[in-house]
Amino acid sequence: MSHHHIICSNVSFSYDKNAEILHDISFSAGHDDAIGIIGANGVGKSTLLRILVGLEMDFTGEVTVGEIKVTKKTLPRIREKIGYVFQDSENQLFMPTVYEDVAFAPRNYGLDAEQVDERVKHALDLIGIDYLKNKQPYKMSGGEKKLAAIATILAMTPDVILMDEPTIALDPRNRRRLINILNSLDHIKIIASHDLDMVLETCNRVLLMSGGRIIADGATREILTNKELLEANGLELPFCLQGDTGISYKPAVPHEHIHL
Amino acid sequence: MGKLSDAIYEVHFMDTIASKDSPVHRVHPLVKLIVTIAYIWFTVSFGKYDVTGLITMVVYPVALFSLSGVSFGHSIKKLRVILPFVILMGILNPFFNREPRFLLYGLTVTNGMVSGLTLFIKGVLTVLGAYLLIATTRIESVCYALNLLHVPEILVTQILLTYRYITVLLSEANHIFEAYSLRAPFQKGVHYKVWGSLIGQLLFRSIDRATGLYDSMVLRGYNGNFRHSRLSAVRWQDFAYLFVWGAVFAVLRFTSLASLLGGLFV
Repeated sequence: MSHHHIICSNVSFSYDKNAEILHDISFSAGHDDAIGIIGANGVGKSTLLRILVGLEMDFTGEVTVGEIKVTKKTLPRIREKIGYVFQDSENQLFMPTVYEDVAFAPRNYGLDAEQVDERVKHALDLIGIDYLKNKQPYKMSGGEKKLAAIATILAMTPDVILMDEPTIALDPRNRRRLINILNSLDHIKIIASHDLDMVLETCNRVLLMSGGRIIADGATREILTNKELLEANGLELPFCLQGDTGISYKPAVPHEHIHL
Repeated sequence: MGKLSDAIYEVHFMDTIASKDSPVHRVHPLVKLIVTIAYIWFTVSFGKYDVTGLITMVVYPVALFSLSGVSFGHSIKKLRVILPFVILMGILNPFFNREPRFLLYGLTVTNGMVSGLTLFIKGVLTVLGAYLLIATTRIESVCYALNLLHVPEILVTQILLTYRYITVLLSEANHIFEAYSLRAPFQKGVHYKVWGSLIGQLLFRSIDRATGLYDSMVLRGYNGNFRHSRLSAVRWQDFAYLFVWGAVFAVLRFTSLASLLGGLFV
């Protein structure tokens, strides 16, 4: 039995033969991995996540999740093991209340009402949003929606959590809350993001993508402190590291014009 | 685009009043649904000239408004929207059926006028009945009740998701029109030349949203069967509610209560 839970071997994908989106992607993820997928816009980060859960099936190569090869037949079993948090939480919260939404997956997997209730309470407690239980999604803030979306996948008790730009549109407090929650979850995590500071705090490993390929795969500190590598691939050092490396902070308004 | 934001507010408002607590709100949704269907059925079954009998059916909305705390004034405001359609249904009757029925203060009232009036009353009462159901029952409970009545699954899911996403669609439309109006400050509405592209935008966004939503559903084990939350069982109070209203409707429909009451006083 392999100690890797996700194995992606030579995966290539395109909608159009002339424009390949992913080219020969190979990586594996073990039980202790929290992987950040980083790269400029349009390099295929989201597509890679969609392939892992079988939302895109016309790929070449092979993907296995927990010893099961991803095929059309195995999709229900694969999806039971993976929780996918969408970039836009509005897509994920389609039921009239948060409780109903979190209960959606456990009900689909045939749990009885008592077990469903237990799962929902546990997921809401884990995220700390029990108070949102009866709230309608349209009455919630962006941050609350994101947390509720995470609760909906935790109720599935997945082995793997995939997240597409989880901190997008979150205010600093909600972003901090999300980082703390991510660090408290001991699932395998694969997070596609441009928020390199968040990746630095939550992931132990980084895949740097460019032009549909994996350019670098290594320890987070190693890759996110490599200024040349990041800049060559359309990124910058994380903000928290920019001060240490000689990049000076330039205020938009010169200090002499600020009157407090 | 005040009208779009008003529409979003209205949907939210309906949700808020449906979540309130009152004796009517506490009745089992299946019972409320059956009573509403029965009310609509009894109302439309009155003869086309039976205005007095039909008027006695007002007792149901009056009782529900007072028991549930739903604002009558607000409901009437809602009725404004469908009133033209209701009027349209019976407006031609006076022209097609001119046979005199009775004289009222020297004015000949024709069969067409009376049948037009009953159509109007039926329209208003049935709409009020349906309005009172959704104003006192949350959408998931209505869908649960429809499910118990074996209404096709696809239809129930459609109702549930349309209700959830109508606000998302409206707010997307609102964003498009706001963006347009900010760059077309001297125009009152949307110029007809860009209607096509704006509607197209909205359509593509809707398709995009629907695809995302479907992906999200299948990733959480959806396989075509929507599993609704199970509500508590029907209690004896619910049976009483059903029995009382059933009896009231039958009495109002099959006895000439208005004439009987009139006879007591004349």
